[in-house]
Amino acid sequence: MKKLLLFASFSFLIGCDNSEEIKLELPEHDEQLAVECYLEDGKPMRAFLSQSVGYFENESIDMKGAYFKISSPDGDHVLKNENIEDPDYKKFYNYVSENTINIKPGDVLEVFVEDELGRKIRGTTKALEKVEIDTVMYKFHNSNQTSPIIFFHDDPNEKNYYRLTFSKLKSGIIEQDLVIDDYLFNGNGILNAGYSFYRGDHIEINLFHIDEKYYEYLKSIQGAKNANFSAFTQPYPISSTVDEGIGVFTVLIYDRITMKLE
Amino acid sequence: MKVYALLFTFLFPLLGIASDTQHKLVGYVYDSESGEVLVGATVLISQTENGAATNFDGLFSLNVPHDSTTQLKIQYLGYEAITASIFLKEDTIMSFYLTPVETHLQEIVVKNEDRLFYNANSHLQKIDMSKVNDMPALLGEQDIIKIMQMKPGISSGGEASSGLFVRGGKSGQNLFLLDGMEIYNPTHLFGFFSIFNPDVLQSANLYKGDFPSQFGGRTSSVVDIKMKNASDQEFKGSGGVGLISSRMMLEIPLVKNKSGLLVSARRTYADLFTEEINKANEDDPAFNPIPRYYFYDFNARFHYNFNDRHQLSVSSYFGQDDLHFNDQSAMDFLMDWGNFVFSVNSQHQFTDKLFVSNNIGHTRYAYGVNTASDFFSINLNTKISDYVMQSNLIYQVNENYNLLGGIKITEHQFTLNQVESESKEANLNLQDGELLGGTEYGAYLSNQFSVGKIADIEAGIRLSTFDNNQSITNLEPRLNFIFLPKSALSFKASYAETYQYVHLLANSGVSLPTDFWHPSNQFIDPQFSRQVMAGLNYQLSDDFVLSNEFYYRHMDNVIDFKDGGRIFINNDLQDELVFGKGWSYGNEFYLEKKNGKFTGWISYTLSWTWREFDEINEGQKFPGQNDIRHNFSTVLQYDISPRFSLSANWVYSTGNVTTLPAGRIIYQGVQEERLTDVPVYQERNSFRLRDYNRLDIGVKYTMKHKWGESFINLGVYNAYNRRNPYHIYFAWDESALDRGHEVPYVAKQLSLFPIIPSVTYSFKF
Repeated sequence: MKKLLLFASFSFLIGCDNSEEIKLELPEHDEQLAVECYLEDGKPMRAFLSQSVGYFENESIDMKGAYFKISSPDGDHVLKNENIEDPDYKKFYNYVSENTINIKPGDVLEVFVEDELGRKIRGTTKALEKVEIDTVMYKFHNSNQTSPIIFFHDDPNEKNYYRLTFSKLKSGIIEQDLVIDDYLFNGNGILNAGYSFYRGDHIEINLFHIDEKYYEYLKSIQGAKNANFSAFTQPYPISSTVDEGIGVFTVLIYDRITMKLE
Repeated sequence: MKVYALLFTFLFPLLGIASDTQHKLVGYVYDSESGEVLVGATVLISQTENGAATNFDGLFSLNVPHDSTTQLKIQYLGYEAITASIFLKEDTIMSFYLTPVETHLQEIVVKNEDRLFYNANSHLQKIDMSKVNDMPALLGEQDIIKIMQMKPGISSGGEASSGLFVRGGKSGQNLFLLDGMEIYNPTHLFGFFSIFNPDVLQSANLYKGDFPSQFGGRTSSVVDIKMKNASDQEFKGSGGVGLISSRMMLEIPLVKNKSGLLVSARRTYADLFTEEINKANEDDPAFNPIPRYYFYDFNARFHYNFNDRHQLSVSSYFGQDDLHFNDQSAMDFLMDWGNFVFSVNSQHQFTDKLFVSNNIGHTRYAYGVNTASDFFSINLNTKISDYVMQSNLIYQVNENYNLLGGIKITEHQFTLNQVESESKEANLNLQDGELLGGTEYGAYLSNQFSVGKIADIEAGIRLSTFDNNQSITNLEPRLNFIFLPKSALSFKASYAETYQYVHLLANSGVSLPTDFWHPSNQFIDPQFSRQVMAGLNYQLSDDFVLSNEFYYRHMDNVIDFKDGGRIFINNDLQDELVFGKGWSYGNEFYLEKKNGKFTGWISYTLSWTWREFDEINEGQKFPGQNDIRHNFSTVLQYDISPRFSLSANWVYSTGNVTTLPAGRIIYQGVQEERLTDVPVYQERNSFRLRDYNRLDIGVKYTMKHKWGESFINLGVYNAYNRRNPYHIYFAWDESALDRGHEVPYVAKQLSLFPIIPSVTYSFKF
C-alpha cells in the first residue's frame, strides 16, 4: 500500500517535472555518533563508524581515535582503526579486526564505542536461529516474466521478523527488499518477490531472520528515505538498535539460494 | 461553567407574550420550482423592523396585527422577493413560494427602510448554491468544500485538498451530514475532490465550532448538506461534460405538486483512455501498465408532500473510487473505497406551535485492498457502519421564544484491518481483524428567545453518552448571544463545549482512503473542545455586510501518532498513538457584497494553532499541522450581461508548517544494498514553507435554446502559474558543486499544479 502511494508521489516528481531548486536555511544540527556493525559467524569483524552531519555540510568518515570493543561469549575484541574496502559489495569499513568471530544461535553480543570527543555508543544483540527457505516457486506468464514466491517455516509460537531480498546475481542491485513481520502468515511463511524477473535470469534470494530492533531500524531507514520524497508520509526518525547514538549492531543470520529461472 | 449553563437552560423566561392585538402567522417558505423549503428566508413586516427567518425546516413564525392589512416582504438570496398583503382575524398557517432568479441581473431590491434580520445563527456560514457553478474550479470540477475553504477561519490543509481545517482543528473533527446522515470520507481521489455533486444540493451550511446543541459528535465543525427535491411539477434535467468527469441529473414529477424523484450520476473517464493505451502496449514487455483509476457518485431522492403539514423524503448516496494495477506477472492490485448512505426523513407540523422532524438511516464507509499473485493473495478490509435514529422538535412558545429538543441514537460498528491471506501451496488460510462496536446517544434542549428587539439568545445543553463496554457521559453547554443596539449593528458572543467519541486515525498530512475511524475505549479517551467567540456584524449598506470575530479554542485528548507510528495492518494500534492538547486563537474578518451585478466576499484570518504532546518534540509545544498565520481569500463575481459572467478567486496564505531533516547519515546496509544518505528527522513541524498564493479566473457563457439552457465555463486555475510549495525534498545533484555548494545536495521544492485551463459544457432543461 505504501509503495503504491510512493509510486503516486514519485510520479508527480518525475512525470510533472514541477520541482525547482530553492535556497534553504536549516536549523543547526547536533552531530551524533553513528555506527553500522553487522556480524556474521566465521567472518572478520568490521564496522563503519561515522557521524551525522548537517544536510549541506561535508560528512567526515575520518573517525580516528575511537575505542571500539565487541564482547562475545568468546571474549572481548577490540577493533582497530583501519580503512578497508570490500570489493565484492563495495562497502567501506574503518574499524576492523583480523580475527573472525564465532557465533552460535542464542549468543548475546555487546558493543561499546567511545570517540575522542567522549561520545559513546552501546548496544546488545542476540543471534537468532537460521530460518531456511523450503521452496521457491514461480510460473512464467505470456511475457516470459515471473515473480517468484518463497516458502519457509515460521515458528507460530513466537513473533518473528524477516527480511527478504531478491537480486540478479552479481548485479549489485537489490530488486526487491521486503522487511516484514509474521502477522500475515504465522506458521507458514510465504513471501512474494513482487518484482518481475525474466526467463533465464540468475537470481539470488536471501532470507534474513532478524530481531525486532533490527526490524524497526530497517523500517525506519526505509521510512526516513521515503519521507524525503513523499508528501504523503510523515517523517520517520531513525529507530536505532544502539543507545546514545544512531545506527545498528546486529548479527546477520540468513539463508541464501541462487538459481536460474528457466 | 456547566452548572450555570444548565441553570440558564432550564430557566424558561417568558419574555414577550403575544398580545390580544396580534395574531400569529406560521408557515413555510418554498422554492416554487422544486418545492424545497428555503432555510434562512426572511419574512418582514414592511415599514417596520419586525420579521422572522425560516429555520432549518423552512418554518417561520411571526406576530402580525389583527384586523388590519399588513404588508409582508418575503425574500431569500438567489430568489425574487415577493410582497404579500394579509388580513388576519385569527392565528393562521400560510406558506409562500419564491421563484429562483433566472439571471444574475435581477437584483434583489431592498428598500432603505428594510433591513436584513439577524437571527441567532451568527455562527452559520451558508454557501450560496446558485453561485457554485459560476466559480472557477480545479479542472472544472465545482466543489462546495473548496468554496468553504475560502471562508474565514477555515483552511484547506494543502494544495487542492478537500479537507477542512476549522479554527485549529483537524479534518477528522468535522461532521459532514448529507440529509442528516454522516459521511465519513467526503472526498475522492486522495482528497482532491469532494463527493458532493453541486447539481443535487439544495443547501450547504457550515458551523464553526460553536454549533447549536442539536449537533454533536465532533469538535471542530458541522457541515450540514441537504439534497434538493425533484420538481413535482414538470420533468427536468441537467448535466455536464468536463475534463475529468461527466454528470447527469433528472427530476421526475410523480404526483403533481406532491411528489417527485431526483436521480443523478457522475463518473470520471480517464481510465477509458489509459486502458486503451495499456491494451495497445500489452505485447511490449518493457511497458509498465498505467494503473486504472476512476470514481463515481450516484444520488437519489424521493419526496412526498402529504399536505402543508406532513412531508416525507427518502434519499440515498452511493459513491466509490477504484484503483487497479496489474503488471502482468508480479501481482494484481485492487483497491476500492467509498460511502453508502440511506436516509428516511419525515416532517410534521402537528399544531401551529409544534413542529417535529424524524430521521432514520444507515451510513457506511469502507475501503478494501486485494493483492494477488500466482500462489498467494491478501485481502484487507476496514469499514465503519452506522444505524441512526433521531428526532427533533421545535415548540414555539410565543413569538419571542422557541423551545427545541431532540434525541439521536447511533449504533456504530467498526471493522478494523480485517485480513484474509490465502495460499494453497503454503497451506495457508489466515483470517484476522478487529470488530468493535459502540452506541452513541445525544439528547438536547435549547432555548431560542428574543429580549425585545435588542437581543437574541440561544442557550442549550447537550447530553452525550458513548457505550462501549464502558459508558462515558458528558454535558455540552452551548450558548449563543446577539445584541442588536441598532438594526444594522449586532454584537455576538458564544461559548461551546463539544465531545468526540469516534476518531479519525490518519498518519499523513493528506487525506488518504486508508485513514480509518476508531471508537473511544479504555486506551482512547474522547476528544474535547471548548471554544469562546466574540465579535460583531455590521450592515454597511443594503449590499455590504461586515463581520469580525475573535475566538479562542482549547482542545484536550487530541490524538496524534508517535514519530514513525504505523496504522496499516497493526493490531496494537494504541501503542502507536499519543495524546495531548491543543489550542488555537485568532481573528476573522469578513466583508461580503450580496446583491447586484458585482458580488463576492473578502475573508481574512489571523490565527495561531499549537499542539503539545509529552512524546513529541520532548514535550515542547509546536505549531499544529494547519497553523497558518495569515489566510486571505477574495471571491468576486461580475455579471457583464445576461449571457456573460466573470469570476475570480484570489487566495493568499502563509506557508504550511512541515518537518524537514536536520541532518543526514551515511547508510551502507548489507550485501548489495547501495550506499545512500538517510535523513535524520528531529523536531516536528519546525519549518515553514514559502507563502502560497493563487489566482483562478472563470468565464461563463449562457446560451438559450428552445429546450432549455446550456453553459460553457472556461476557467484557469493558477492563472499566473505560481509555483506554490507542496513539498520540500533533498536531491543529489553533482552539478551543485560547480555552483559553489559544499556537497552535491540541493533542496528542491515540489509544486503540484501549474496553470491549468479547463472547459466544461453543461446544460439544463
